[in-house]
Amino acid sequence: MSAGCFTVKVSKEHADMGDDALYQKEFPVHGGDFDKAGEVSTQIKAILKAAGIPDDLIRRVVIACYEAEMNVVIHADSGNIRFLLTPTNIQIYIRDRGPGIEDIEQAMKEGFSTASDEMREMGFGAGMGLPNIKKSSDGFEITSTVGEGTELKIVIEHNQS
Amino acid sequence: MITYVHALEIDKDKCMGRRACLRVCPTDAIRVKDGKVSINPELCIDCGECITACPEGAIQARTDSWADTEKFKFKVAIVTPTLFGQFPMSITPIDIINGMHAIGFDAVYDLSIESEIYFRALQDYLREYKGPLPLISSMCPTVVRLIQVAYPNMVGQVTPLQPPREIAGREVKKYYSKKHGIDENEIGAIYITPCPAKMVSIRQPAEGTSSNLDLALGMRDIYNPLLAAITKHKKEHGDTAEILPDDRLNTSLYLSLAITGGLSRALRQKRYITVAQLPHIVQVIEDLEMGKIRNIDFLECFSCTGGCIGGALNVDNRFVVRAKLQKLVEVIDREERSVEDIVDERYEKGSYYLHQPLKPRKISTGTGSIIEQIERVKNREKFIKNLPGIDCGLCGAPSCAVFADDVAQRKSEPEECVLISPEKLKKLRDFYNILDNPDSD
Repeated sequence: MSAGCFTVKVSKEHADMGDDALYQKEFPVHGGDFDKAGEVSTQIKAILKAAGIPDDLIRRVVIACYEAEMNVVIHADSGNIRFLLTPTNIQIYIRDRGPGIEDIEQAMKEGFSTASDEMREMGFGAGMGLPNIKKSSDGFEITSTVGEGTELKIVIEHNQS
Repeated sequence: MITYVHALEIDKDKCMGRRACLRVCPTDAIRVKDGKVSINPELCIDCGECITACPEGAIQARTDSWADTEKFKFKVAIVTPTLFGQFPMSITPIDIINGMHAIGFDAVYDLSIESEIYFRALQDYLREYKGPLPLISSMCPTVVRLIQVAYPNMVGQVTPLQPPREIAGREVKKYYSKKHGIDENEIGAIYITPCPAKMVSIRQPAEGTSSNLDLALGMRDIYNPLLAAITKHKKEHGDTAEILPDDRLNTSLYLSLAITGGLSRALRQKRYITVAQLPHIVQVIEDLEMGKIRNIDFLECFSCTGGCIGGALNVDNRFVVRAKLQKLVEVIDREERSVEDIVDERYEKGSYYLHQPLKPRKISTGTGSIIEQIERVKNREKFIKNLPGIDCGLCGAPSCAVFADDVAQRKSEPEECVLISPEKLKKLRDFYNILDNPDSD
């Protein structure tokens, strides 16, 4: 592991990178593109809906995915989101090229944000970003290298098969 | 299986298959097949957009008729602020009430007290509520149905309170029955409605119980006889300042209730947003679902532009109605004090809940194992690549995306697309009588 790596594992090992994926798709995300911000999450939501995944699970996926997508839009230069649906879970990999996170432990604390109080009051900006993603997921991993970028893995179990 | 009641009626003879309705339907419930429109009753939320959009007037609101009121011994008209805004300023609410008697109502009942009761119940509910925010107003039946159909996750966020019209329905029965010694069943609680959705909410409440109201008469349907009656009454009696003892007319906050923002302002909630028109509502709810919009306590939504004053059964221009109502609030003597006293006396905390909780509407979509469903998703994605993406609507679906859904669910055939099938194009040309050389004789 390189410097600045930090991993949080919430639940058991998850099937990796799509060997048993029923469906997978990759979406590009552009840093600073606020016009299209949230579009990937919306598309993933539509796919899950069509696949008959229960609504409460979709809601968790969408909240986590949107937060992650916004992190890329707000902080990074570019990135991509890879989405996998397996017979037992939903996996989302978010990878960006950008500044990276200096202190992940700090960033994982509830309420940590570089955004001002007023911005948060209005609903803008981060603050609940990473902890919110973790809270919505069954599995969550983060790796970041300062000056290079950040990688996130989100897993949500569905057991619908 | 529930059969859904709707207020829309399609006149197949008038329908020319021009597809204006197709594009405005917020839940993609409309399809055109063989040149005629059909509406999926599971998806229809009675917004009335298609009524307004149809150039032929082929879609009509089916409300109750005057004949339906005859079964009641004592007919009470329950009137909304919207009605007061439909006439010239020289015609006062009192004139309107007198006119209502002339066309056959035994009493006229406004919603002032019930609106205040609703505000109080809402404030009490907001104070004690601990679930996810924002809470969503239950005033507009179309919004409630939109959430049941498209956002099943959020039904718990719709305030489970009876709207003022329902609270009034109960009171009207109780009050006049006691006053005149008539059985409650013989008293007709007749709502004068600005939109078809409220008629549906009376016939089939969203929560699945029965309404406290009996009938809904469309504002548009009573307008002409009412205006004639008012004019005649004014000619014979001059300007009146009196109403009959059975009538109830107070003026209060409720006059602004039919206008977007009226409810939120009355609540003095710090963090509320007010949204009208379905595409905007959908946008806001989508953003809320994702967490894009946060920290909102209350969401006031109206399906129609400007609020109930924009309903499909209004007569006057909605912007003019809004101006008139705002003027009316300024001009009329405020009697809030007396309203407050009555409300103090009548208000019973906790007794204005819906009779049962709101549930999502079950939509019969493709079923099967996740593998089968995902197979459909993949087929759809493959198929959609072959479509032009111009949403011409000639296949009978509102957009290429919806058409691809239909094909994936085997509700339609790829050959319905005119760019895929020349046969279909030929069929359509015949149907719309398109000539090869329109200039030649």
